[in-house]
Amino acid sequence: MKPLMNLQNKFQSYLVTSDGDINAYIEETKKVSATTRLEIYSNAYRYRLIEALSSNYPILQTYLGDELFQELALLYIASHPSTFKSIRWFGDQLESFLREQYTEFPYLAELAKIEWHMTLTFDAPDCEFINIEAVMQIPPSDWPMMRFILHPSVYLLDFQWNVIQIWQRISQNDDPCDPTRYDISIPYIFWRKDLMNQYCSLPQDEHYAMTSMINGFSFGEICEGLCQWVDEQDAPLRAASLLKGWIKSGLISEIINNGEFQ
Amino acid sequence: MKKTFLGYGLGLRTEHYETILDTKPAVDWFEVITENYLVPGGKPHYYLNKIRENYPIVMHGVSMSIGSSDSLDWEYLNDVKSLANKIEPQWISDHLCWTGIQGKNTHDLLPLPYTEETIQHVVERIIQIQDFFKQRILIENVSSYVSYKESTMTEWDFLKEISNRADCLILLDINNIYVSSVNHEFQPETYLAALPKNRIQQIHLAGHSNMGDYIIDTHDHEIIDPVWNLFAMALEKYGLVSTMIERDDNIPSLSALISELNHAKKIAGSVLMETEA
Ligand SMILES: [Fe+2]
Repeated sequence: MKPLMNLQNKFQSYLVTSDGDINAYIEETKKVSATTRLEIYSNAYRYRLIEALSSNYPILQTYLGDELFQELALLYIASHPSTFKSIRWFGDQLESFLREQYTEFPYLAELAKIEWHMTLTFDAPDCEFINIEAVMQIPPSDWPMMRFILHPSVYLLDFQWNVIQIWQRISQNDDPCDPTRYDISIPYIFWRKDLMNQYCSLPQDEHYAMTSMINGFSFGEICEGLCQWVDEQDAPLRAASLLKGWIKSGLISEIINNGEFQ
Repeated sequence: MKKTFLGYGLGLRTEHYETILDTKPAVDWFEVITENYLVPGGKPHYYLNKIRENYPIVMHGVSMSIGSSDSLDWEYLNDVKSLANKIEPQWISDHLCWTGIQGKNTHDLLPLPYTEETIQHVVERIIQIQDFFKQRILIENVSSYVSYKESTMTEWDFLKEISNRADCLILLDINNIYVSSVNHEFQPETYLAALPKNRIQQIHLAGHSNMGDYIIDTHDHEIIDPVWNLFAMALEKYGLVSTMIERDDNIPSLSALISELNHAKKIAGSVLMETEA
């Protein structure tokens, strides 16, 4: 191995795993030992990554308190060294890490899921969204064939715990409520409008319609599916009112009409 | 080699986005951390584009890892190039350091051993990067807390040699010279005297944390007098150089940073009066 690569290997192992015999490569002075010099780097390494997690997961940090959060952060840092060019992406696996390692506290993973998706929504690609007039121009006979492309900032997430309430309370500087598990999970949608993150829960039929839309179903197919919840003759009306709501909220980027982009 | 003089700038920080748009402060230019804008969209790009309408921008990266033993990350370099095509910065800079190997990123600016092997490695990479960007880049001296036994030359000879052989420009961080001079016990004046004047394209000023026996480069304090003195000395040697203040932590109001920047301007003014007289 070339000397430069050897040195970098040893230095990085020291930072990431605290192993290695890097000390022998470092000059020391009367005032400052090699160990003290190296510790400046290993402290800075951990400190910077803890900071990155704390900026991506501020509510989780408040919920856990600084001490427990730091403990979690150090475990995560040790098992998931960064491979990112931008530190903004550090912490992308925290939800699954919590789910696997903190099995007694399943709501922590869900709290992390909210925060990570908030960051994804925040800097998701910019994209136009369509307005009501664009849909009105489509002749009614073509409506059943319409398909939709969602704004890239949209995420549809399910929660089994009341973590949204916990998240809200901490965001407003209130004491968090106790974690409670729902009988059935509750779907939420996250998206960005006018540079601001938005979220709301979805009723069952809207959740169905939204999922179908994401999966590329046509307006006609969505109407049929809605018959599980409403009478057949009311389904198109319900579908149209959902569509209007989505357009108003800035959730739809494109309507595909017979393969033509509007 | 004709130097572009942009005047006196500040690092662009999210805390100041709104104030900059609302008050259009008298700052000549802004430096952005490249990686903060390597995200798909949203607020970071919105504000950068708005601010770019009124101010020249320079791009300053922290992940190029010029000295790493890994091969160059072309995906990253391509992202940097695309961003540069969009915002048309005055120039692109990164650090004379390595940040990780084997695909990892320590997100720290780690020092290199000052050897002929490193020089050859780094020079070859800078040449490739400059070919790819179709422009010269600036490399910045980092502050360091260790020096390696295998080094065979001083940091300033290392920097000088690389910039000459790669034909790149230098972003000289005056605070980093000061920090390293305390940590490694050398005379900062010697450092300044050794560098090729024509390659100094930009200067960084910043504050730091003094730990007694050593100094940590934290960018969370005001600039101290010895660093101002060193700045004055640098201008005596190099003439007018585009100068900016970096502040990354404990970030004060924009107006506080502007008055610190005005101090830099004042020093530059009096130095140049003296040298002309
Ligand atoms: Fe700097």
